Amino acid sequence: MPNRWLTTGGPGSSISGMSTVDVPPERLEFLQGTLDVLILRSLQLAPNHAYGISQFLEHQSEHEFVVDNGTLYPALQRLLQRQWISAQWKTSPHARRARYYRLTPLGRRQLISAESRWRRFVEAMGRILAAEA
Amino acid sequence: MREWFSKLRHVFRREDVARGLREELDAHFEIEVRERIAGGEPEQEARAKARRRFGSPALIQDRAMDAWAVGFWDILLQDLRYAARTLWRAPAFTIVALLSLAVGIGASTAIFSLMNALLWKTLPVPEPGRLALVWPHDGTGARQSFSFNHTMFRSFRERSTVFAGVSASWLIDSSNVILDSNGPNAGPVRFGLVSGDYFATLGVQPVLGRTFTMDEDRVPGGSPIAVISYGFWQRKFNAAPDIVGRTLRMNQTVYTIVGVAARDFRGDWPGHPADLWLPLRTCVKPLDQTSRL
Repeated sequence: MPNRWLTTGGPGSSISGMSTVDVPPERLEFLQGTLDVLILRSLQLAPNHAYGISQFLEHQSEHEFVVDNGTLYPALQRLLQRQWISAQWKTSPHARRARYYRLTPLGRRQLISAESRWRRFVEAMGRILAAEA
Repeated sequence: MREWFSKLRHVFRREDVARGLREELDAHFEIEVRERIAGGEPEQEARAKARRRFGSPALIQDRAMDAWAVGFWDILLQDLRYAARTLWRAPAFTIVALLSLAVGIGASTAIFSLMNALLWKTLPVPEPGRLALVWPHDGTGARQSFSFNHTMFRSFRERSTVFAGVSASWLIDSSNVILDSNGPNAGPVRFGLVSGDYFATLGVQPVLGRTFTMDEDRVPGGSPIAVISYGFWQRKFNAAPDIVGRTLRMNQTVYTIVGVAARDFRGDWPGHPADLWLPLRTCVKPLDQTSRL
């Protein structure tokens, strides 16, 4: 199982396992399941398809996070298996069919608890990093 | 846990999932191309750039399908399918291999079953481990017979302290037996001449009626009774419920059936199943009164 790597800082950083694109990112191991939470969050506002999700993440993070398809799609499959999201084929605004994902109630609950866990984590990190020597 | 169930439910629909994924990837790619074109890129360039950014669809699909793998089971299934295809394409080899296996397995099974029945399987009695076959040995190392003479048997029985019960049996393949004294000819039978405590020593219970008791031994040439085997009852008497009290005629003597032995019991000599048993005493006539324990 490829770990999901997350690099921060600098353009062209990407969330990728083993990349299916030939962009060799710097890698820094982070919390597993981070991508899952990001996907859930991107669906919280409205259902979206895979392309829309990756675009959302890229733009919201101001290009800090670039999601590699080779990581996004497996993550989507796993979320489907856990029934945190559900999928349906619909016609997109471009008048093309696409598979739209939406949060399930279970997924919504997961997102809420993940958000609070994440906040605690960030605060703890902050306290340590800010502590006087 | 939930993931596991999802995977299991989709085990046989893997092809559908794969197909859906291909469609989804196609659609995704097209949407990306359209957006680039809408953003002002010429189509050729848009496609090229999108292709590079998108990644290899085959690889993406592979990764995504990995998420549905159920561990080693998947790999095993793949291997089996591959093996099946390969065998299918080489029919001559496959047929020869299958035949060889069939003959080999068939022969082994047959031989094992035979040996099992004759050598290894225990007698269908309550405590086969406690049984022992005893025969006289005159110490000269010559060819031995399994015979005891009757007086020797009786004193052995009275004086033996080692055995809980001692009984004798002798098997005879006989001429025809007539059912109900006047009824149909049941054909040749094999019967056992046994001492009164035979059934008691072996611990064989009757299914109907009774088996022999020590009383049987006391009356020389006495009331001709017989215990028949379960199989004999089923086959020749059609499992008639009134079997106890019916008669058989063998060699001019009429025997009354007093019981039916337990279901699997066919005597103490594997490979030579007995159809019925008579008390030793009823055949006192045989010349040398030999009996086999």
